[in-house]
Amino acid sequence: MRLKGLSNTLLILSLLLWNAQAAAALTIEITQTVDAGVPVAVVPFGWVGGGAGLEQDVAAVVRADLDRSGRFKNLPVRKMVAFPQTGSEIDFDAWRRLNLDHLVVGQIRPLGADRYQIRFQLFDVVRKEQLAGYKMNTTARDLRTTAHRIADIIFEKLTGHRGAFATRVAYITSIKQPGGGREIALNVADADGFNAQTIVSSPEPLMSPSWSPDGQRLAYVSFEGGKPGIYVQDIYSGKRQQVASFPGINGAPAWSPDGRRLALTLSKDGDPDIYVLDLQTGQLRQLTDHYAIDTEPAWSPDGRWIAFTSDRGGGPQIYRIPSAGGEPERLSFKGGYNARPSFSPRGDAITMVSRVGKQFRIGLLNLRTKAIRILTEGALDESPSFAPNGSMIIYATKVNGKGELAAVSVDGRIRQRLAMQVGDVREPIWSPYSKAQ
Amino acid sequence: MLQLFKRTPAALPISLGGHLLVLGVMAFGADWGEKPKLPGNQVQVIQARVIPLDQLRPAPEQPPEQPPAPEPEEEPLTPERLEQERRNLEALEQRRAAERERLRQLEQEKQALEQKRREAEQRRRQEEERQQALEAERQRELERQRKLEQQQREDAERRKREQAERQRREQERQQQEAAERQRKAEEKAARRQAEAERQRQQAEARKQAEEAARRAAYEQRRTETIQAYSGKIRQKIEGSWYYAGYGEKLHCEIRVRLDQTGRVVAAKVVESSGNEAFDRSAKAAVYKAEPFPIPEDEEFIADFREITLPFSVDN
Repeated sequence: MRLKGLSNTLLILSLLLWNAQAAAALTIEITQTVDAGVPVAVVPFGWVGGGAGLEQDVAAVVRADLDRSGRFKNLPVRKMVAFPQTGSEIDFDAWRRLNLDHLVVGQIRPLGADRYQIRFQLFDVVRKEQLAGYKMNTTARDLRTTAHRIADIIFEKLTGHRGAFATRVAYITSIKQPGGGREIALNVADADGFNAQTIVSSPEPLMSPSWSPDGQRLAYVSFEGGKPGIYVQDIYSGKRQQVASFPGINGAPAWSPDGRRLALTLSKDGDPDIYVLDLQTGQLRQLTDHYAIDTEPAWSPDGRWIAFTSDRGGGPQIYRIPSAGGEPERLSFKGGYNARPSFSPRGDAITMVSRVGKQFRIGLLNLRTKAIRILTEGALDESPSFAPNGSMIIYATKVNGKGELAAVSVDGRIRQRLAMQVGDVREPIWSPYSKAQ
Repeated sequence: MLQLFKRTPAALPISLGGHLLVLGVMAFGADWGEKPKLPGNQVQVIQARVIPLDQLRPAPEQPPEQPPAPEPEEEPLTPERLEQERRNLEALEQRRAAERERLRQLEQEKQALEQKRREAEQRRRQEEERQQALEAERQRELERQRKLEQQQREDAERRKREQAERQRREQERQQQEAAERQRKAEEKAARRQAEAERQRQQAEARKQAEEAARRAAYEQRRTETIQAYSGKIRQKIEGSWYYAGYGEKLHCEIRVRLDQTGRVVAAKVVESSGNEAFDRSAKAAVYKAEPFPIPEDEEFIADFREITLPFSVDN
């Protein structure tokens, strides 16, 4: 009897325990996201005013930004079930049936002569919650920029990373002239390739643009007068200044994160070496001293290191040296050709040009693991640089023998050509976040 | 001495008489008086000078009680006087003989006394011995009596003990027999009970085995169901999960409570990744996966009432 009673007690107890455990124990690990962009719908913004409204489709700019990032997939306008302009007009269930995660609605209201107010709201369709809502004043000229800033807000809300759509790229174009010869130009455009403006042009080569950390100035190499010199130019005022014109090579300027110095390649003492020029005092300090070629310096975001290309080991490879001086240290070991380094904003990776077989492609060197990942599939991809939020890398690629701007997401998933430019495009460089904006 | 005797012929009888007296005293004195008390059996040796008798001429006997005759005056040797002398001698001889007789009688008496004393002593000793023998006999008798009594006592005790022992044994035997009877009865009862218990336990074990088998089958079905539906749920959530972030290793945990139909009653971020967008994307995936594929089987629905969902990315 007692035995039976005991066993019954145990049975009940163990069942209770099992149940208690089971309730807490059922754990299902979720490790795979859908391998596609986050579904989002940016409903065309409504026009609250008389007349036909604006020519510029602000929502379309936002859509394009989000698409280009590779992180989102927009619902085409033709598939939209409704065109709400405010949150109160949204039938969330209807949007949810389209398997949408997020919805952006907005209105544009004229505020007077060439002044507008854009109001937009970002919703979580599933939870029927507003995640963001802003009113922004703008002008006709800044409509695209405002659209990029809306895209930045959405991007940041949905990725946890600051958006970099309202930034710029600088790049060199080469255009054949009717009379023979070429016009070489240094251009600045929005990060989507629109609003391109030439800030300097020359029949002689222009090379190696580099943004100042405040996004106001560009340093570049110009061969005007037949010999290379390094110039610093304010992109808004056009004011410029030659900062280096030494005998031999004056090349590859790179702005220090504090904006006070430029790293350069000079061959004034024989072989090309890396130097650091103090822009305020004009003082020049030699950083490397090797009979091989040392060139293409790039500052780490914390300013402690300068990465550069050197063929001191036989072929071109990436090295780094303390920016205060010291011993160079090789960083890239895989492949016979790695050149043109540029740090990620977090300083944990370097993008570079890596030769794969006979192709030159964009590589990503993980500084922790030293692993190299090839992100592109072109034949002559060159000049990679990170977006300031680290989400993408802009580079130049050859399409039918002509240079074009392209961008790739850091995971290599999304590659896109940017807005078509005139001429042969080379040496793009992504701007930092602009302090002016 | 000899010169003395030559010079004074009268000295010889005097000396002889003295000696005889001494001898006589010595001869009788010991018997007359009290016997000297000699300590123990120590022998007193009397030191005496032995005089060889052949060197001696007979000395005139002289009664010890009689003082020595005065030195006779030199008288002429007349017949009367001779005659007188001879009579004196004869009288002396007679006294001496009487004395000897008396001594002899004394001796006899002494011997008779001694004899009597010895006989008395003998009788006394015999009486003593007889008494002793009697006493010994009495003692022996007493001893015999004592032993007899002892023996009897012991016998009585032994008998008593034996009796007690017999009684004890008997009692024990009876007790043992009673105990044995009881034991057997108990054993029998216990066997009956054990058999009953065994049968009950067998039945119980059978029941438990069946129960265990049923439970094992249930658990297996349950495990399989849980695994199968966990897989379905995972697929559905992963098919709903879009995350726009990049370049980070993130982990959050969402606790979900479902109703009977798999609808999400509540979803709570119990462990945040620190990235709000990531947490939200995971939560959205949970809601987009509604209704969760859960078993239709009533008994397993409880297992899916609360689910922990760890979300992680490394990109």
